[in-house]
Amino acid sequence: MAQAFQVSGVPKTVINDRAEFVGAVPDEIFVNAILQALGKEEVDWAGEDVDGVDDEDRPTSVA
Amino acid sequence: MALLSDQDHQVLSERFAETLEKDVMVKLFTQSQARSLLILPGQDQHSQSQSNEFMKVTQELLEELTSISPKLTLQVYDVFSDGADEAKRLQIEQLPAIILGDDAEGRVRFYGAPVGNEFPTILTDIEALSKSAPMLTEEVAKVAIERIDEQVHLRVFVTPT
Repeated sequence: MAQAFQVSGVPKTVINDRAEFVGAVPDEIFVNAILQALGKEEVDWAGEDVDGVDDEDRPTSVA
Repeated sequence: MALLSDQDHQVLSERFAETLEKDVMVKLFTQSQARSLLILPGQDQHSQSQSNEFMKVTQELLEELTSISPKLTLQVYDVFSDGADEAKRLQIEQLPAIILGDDAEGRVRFYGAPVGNEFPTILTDIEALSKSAPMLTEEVAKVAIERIDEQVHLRVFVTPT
């Protein structure tokens, strides 16, 4: 099976027998790879407001 | 001779006491030792005996591993005799095959012998299935649950070092 998918060295992940990536990746990248393989929009982890909290209100320094 | 030392048993026992929550079913699909003696036409003797070694080691390792915690159960299926129906139902692609988890189709499949660098992998697989909460960070888990709304099949290939 490894020969059919041309695998060597580092781990290779194949999604729905269609898309693939090589190497260990952070969770966020993994999720984006899956979303991309499903034809969905990826998540902008840096900018996305995922927790519903308005980040403007969060104090950025300790007095 | 046991594959796991007394110290391994002790360490794993303590680890499982911390990490295991729900019971986990482990199904091993293999072939009997008698069957392993047959050299099939077209198959070279070396790869056949190497494959037999994998089967033997895998079964022994899983027997020892699952005996460490009462939350782990091992079922062994001989695909060439009474395990044939189950192997067909679960569409087993190659041997040895380790099916983890209770879902109708088995959540996680491990093809090959879980030895060396892959031993920690199978431990983590078992622990992940045993937990109630995902092992991802909360934010990533939340997004994944929201956005991934269809079945996803993942194959992960690792090569032995």
